[in-house]
Amino acid sequence: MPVDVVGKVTEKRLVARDTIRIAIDAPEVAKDARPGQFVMICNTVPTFDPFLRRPFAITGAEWGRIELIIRVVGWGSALLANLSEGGEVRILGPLGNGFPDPKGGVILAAGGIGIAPLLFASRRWPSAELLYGEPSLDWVCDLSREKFCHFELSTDDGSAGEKCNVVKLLRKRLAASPLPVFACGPEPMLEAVAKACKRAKVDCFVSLEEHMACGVGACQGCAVLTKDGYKRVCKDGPVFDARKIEWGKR
Amino acid sequence: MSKLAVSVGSVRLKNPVLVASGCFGVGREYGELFDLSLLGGIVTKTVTREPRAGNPAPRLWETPSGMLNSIGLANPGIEVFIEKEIPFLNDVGCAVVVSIAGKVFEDFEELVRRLDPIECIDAIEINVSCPNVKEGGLAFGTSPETVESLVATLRPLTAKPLWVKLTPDATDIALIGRSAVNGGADALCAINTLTGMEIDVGRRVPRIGNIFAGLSGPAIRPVALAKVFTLHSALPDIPIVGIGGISEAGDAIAHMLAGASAVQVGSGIFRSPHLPLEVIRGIAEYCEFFDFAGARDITGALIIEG
Repeated sequence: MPVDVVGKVTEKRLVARDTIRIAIDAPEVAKDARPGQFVMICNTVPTFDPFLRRPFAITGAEWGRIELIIRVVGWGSALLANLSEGGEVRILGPLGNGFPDPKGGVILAAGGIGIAPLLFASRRWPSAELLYGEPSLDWVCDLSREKFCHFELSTDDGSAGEKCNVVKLLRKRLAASPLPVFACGPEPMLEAVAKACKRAKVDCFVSLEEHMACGVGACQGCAVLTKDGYKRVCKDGPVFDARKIEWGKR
Repeated sequence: MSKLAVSVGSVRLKNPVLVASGCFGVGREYGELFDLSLLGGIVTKTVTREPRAGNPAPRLWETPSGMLNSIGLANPGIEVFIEKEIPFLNDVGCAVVVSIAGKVFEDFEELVRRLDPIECIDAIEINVSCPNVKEGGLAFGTSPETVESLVATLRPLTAKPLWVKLTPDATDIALIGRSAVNGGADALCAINTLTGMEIDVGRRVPRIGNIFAGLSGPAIRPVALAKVFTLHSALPDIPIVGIGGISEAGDAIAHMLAGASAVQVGSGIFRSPHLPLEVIRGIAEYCEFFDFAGARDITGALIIEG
């Protein structure tokens, strides 16, 4: 069950260009959180501009703390990235369905800030392998504190890891041994991941991103078109079986 | 009778705070966060005769101190609503107002006929002000003749109170309000969202799939207060339910001072799920501090000097 609480920011560090990682003390939110779920957060100051909360995938939920990776993409995320240690945020969660429990090994495919929920997955399921792509080295999140059983990095310009995109890494990996895939990233990447998984005949679950108002399933604002009609990204997702998504259709 | 209790015509509410249509579903989701029986009432997501899938995405865009939405009255239709949602609403422990919309008069008539025998429904809100549908929304709600004749058509079909939700897009909201009352409306709800639009100048496309959308949030509060005040001045004996930009208790009190007997909290819930409860508490404190015997005494208590 989600709760809405005020939590203190206990840790904050810059992990990549325009990207911070924060820990928020929120035991009630952390206790039942699972990888793929998200929270809606806003400042505690009584101002209404920006009006809506911002959804963020949960990157960690240990020791009563919710960890988030926030990449500045606009005004709302910029304000939240300006929070300092000791500051407070309103945090509503955990929300959404999360990834299913993998029965054995699983490949995590992260594009850009899509790394956020997949780090949580890699901690929860230590046999998971992580493939991570960014445009260039400056965008690559500092993952020096993480442990992976297998990790591959790609950048579009070759400034770190292999010079390709993460979908290419995935295709190579699937050719070696087919495993189910959990993916998060921009929509064109997810569509390509879904295609690669279909070809390799493996299950694929994608975590979608959409503008949200309520985050709990009440407003129906974050609709995504699926083979079963419109679904709410916040409540029916954000994790969907990739085969169900009507890619590129609104 | 509790200090917070108010009446909207014949509908008794334990407090003046309802949640607005479209922002709360029927309460299932927010019912996980707080006890729904603490509310004055729930106005359901609008139900239509047939199921509606809703408008193409994107359906949302945030604006300065507000938001645009174009959901397009997505709902499962009256059949499923009665089968699945009424049993839930039967147990919520607060007033239940069902919002209805249709493309033609016959749709509204059928909806009222279906809802009339259901005991847990305290009132029916006629939505003739949705900016996100082609037929039956603004096209109805901006025409005094259509509003009067629609309400007059529905009036004989049920003894339940009929509330009419008005659009701020009408040239003269008092004219539309009076038409609704002439048709037999028991109360007026004001306001629905304002028609709005945003443009992505880089890609040269509208931000919303349906191009037009409804503006809500703190940005529209001054418009809402002006409309409530205008309606109350023109029709002092008709109960008004104030809606628009309520983000804290003071906003709800402002609506009541302007003439509202009760209020509906809408998109403010998205930022603060517990907002309706904070508003209820704030109204109680206001009554205490300013020596109002009850919340009902705040209605129309605005002081206009000179």
